[in-house]
Amino acid sequence: MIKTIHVLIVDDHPLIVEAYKNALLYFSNQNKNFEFVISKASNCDDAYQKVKDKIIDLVFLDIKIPPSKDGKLLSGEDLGLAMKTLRPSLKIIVSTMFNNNFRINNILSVLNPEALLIKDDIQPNNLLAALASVFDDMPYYSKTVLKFLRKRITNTYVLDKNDMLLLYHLSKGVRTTDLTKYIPLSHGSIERRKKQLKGVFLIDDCDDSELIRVAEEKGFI
Amino acid sequence: MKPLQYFVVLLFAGVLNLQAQNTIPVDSIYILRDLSRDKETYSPQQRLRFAKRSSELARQTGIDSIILNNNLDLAIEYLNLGDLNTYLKLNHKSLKLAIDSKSNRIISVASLNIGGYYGVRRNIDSAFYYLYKSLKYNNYNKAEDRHSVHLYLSYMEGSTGNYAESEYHSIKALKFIDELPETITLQHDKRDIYYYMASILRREGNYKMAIDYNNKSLIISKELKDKLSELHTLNNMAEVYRELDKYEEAISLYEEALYDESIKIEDPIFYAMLLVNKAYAQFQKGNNSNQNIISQLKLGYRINDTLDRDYEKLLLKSATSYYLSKVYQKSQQKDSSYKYAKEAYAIAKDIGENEILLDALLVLSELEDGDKGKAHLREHIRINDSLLQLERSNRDKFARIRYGTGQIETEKDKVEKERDWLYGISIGLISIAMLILVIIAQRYRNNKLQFAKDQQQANEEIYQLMITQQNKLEEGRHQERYRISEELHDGVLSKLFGVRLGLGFIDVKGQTQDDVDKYKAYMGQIQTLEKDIRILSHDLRQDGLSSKGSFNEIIHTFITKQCELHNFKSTFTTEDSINWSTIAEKTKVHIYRIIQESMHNVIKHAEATELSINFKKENEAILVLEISDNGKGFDAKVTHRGIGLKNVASRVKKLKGDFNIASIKEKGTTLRISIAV
Repeated sequence: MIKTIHVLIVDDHPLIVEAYKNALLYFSNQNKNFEFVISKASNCDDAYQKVKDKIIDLVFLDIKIPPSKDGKLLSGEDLGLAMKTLRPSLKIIVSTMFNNNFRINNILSVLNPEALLIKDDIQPNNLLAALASVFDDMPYYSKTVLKFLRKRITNTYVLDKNDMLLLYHLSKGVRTTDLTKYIPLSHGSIERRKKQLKGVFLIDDCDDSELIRVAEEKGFI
Repeated sequence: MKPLQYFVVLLFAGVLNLQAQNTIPVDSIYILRDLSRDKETYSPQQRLRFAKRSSELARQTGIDSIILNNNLDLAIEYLNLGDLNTYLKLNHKSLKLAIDSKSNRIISVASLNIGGYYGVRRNIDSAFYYLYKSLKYNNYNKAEDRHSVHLYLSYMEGSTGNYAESEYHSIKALKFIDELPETITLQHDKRDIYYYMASILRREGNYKMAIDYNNKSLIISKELKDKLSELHTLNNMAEVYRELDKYEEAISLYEEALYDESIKIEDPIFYAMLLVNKAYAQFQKGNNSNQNIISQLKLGYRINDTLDRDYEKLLLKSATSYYLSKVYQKSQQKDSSYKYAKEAYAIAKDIGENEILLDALLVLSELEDGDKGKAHLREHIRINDSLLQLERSNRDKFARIRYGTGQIETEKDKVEKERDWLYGISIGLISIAMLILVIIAQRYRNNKLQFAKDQQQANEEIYQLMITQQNKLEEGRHQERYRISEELHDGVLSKLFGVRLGLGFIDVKGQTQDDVDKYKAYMGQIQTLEKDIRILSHDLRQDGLSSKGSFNEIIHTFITKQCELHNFKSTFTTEDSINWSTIAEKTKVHIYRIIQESMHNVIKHAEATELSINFKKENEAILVLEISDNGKGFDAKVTHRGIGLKNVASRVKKLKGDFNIASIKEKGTTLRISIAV
């Protein structure tokens, strides 16, 4: 029995779209009982429309894609959630260039996709493995994600959302004075939190780069 | 007894001793002048020679004041030698020169000397003329000489019968004397004035006052142990009593005077005068026999007889003759009385003693009957009238002279008033000028303060601008880095990934094993490349964190630029614990300027190849800045500080910091600044 699976590839780089297509082709060549109907979208609006209009079983989702025109869907995370709401049975394979722990954590906790692949990790073989795993109803995480998860499981720090945001933006090189634009906290409390975080990580009296280094090490970013 | 003899004595003894008061150091003139005054060592002839030589030298200097003073000194030497003509000539010369050169004091002194001379010579008109001239300029005279002119004038006015004026001048002279410290010479002068005033008052009929003044004269004479003066005063006093018809008192005074017989040798004429006066007083009292009195008078008369013509002697003789004629008249011996009266008349007329002349005429008119007697009476009246006339005309004349002086004095007052005005205005102007000066100084100070404030403000503004500039630059750089990072991440990296994945699914089975291996190796390379790019992208974003605050950045930029420009190596280190954001902007401006200034010094003078600038914290509150170079160094103790180091020092002072320089020749210099922050 041949299973026909409707796949939507969401990526704004035609080269990547082509690569996924090749991978799917390769997979169907190897597994004769799978047949793929492939469609593609390069932005949020297009993708959402396609999921709404036709049957889609599997989505290859990039996180960094052009946002929707109405501004409601800003990233692959938002789009994935919206599509899941439309079709709860939809399987999502997230492939992203982001390899930092913060984004990984965010994607896992918000979207909880069937597979999360970091583009760095992706090689033809593990991409095929991921597909096989997903079709087998088993989540698949690429190497970096697995490492992150391991770190998170082994440490006992409890950081809230603002702490995570703070660390994340700091790591992005945002200056302390500009942090208030990204975090809903006053300047004073941001400073206080930074100090607190340094205390938590046992690196009192160190500067911010050290904080980021340690946070990275502990898997928060 | 007439005061004229005193006048002469006084004139010769008390001639004004002129002290040279010149600032021109013409030593030899002064030495000679001093020698000429040294009465103890040198004879009058020697002194005259010195004075002449001094005067000669003075003339050569051509300085008026010196010439004048020397001329007067010389004049005095001639006076001492009794050469009155030369004395007069020199004084005239001095006066002329003084008038030309407007030396008011010399005018006063020379006029006084000349006036005195004419007084002695009984040239009354000239005496008055010069004495009043001297009086005009008396204010310019030295304080201790001011009374002299009044003294002379008093004598002169008295001798012309102008008693009121005479008294006025006497009192004036006394006033001047009283203002001065007491000296023997002045006491003598004072005594003379009292004595003279007493005789004037007696003549005016003011006997009470006359006695008073005689008493004063007597007291001073006794103080001065001046026997002769004392006797003269006693004689004068006795005469007062005689005129008051108090013969008892008069006689006792005469006896007191005659008690000391030393006078008989010292001044026999005066002794004789006292004797005859006493005898006549006894006669007037009437309790002694005429015979006895006549014998006494004749004694006096005979003393005179032997002596030659001399005013004093002639006076004595005429007075005695008059007395005798009176006594004989009383005892009805008309012939003898007539004879003596005639003689008294002749001598009195000869020596100009009008008092005796008039009395003698009165006696003569009484002695002779008829026309002759009347003729004598007429002559008496005529002389009396003419005397009154003369007195009156003298008064008028001298009043005119005085009036002239008065005018001068009003002019002087006017000049003085003008001078006062001038002083007032000058003082006013000076005060205004001072006030303006103070205001200007104040304003200058304010401006300076304002300027310093402005400069401070400007400095801070410049610093702020620099910060803003730096921030903008940073911002731009940051944005650009971010953009590149983003581009690398989303564009390049994604495309590379697409390419790699695409390549991965190309079937390479038909190839040799070698090719497949190569293919896989390249794939691996691409993946590594992806990672590199990702790290690069990440680092680009992270870069913002590495900057520890823009002040460091500013300094670092400045140092790097300077080092590039001037071709030397630099190291810049700063301790992490320094938090620039907590340090005042003002302090940072100063630190920046100090670094600028020091670097400038290093570049200009040190010939260094390496420079290190280092910030550290000594403890929580002290920031230390060290600037070292490896240049040629200098001797920090000896070298005069240049403007650069001075500026550094002044900035450190403003920051209330410390500052020292350690320099080793050919090794380099280290500037160490510590500032409390």
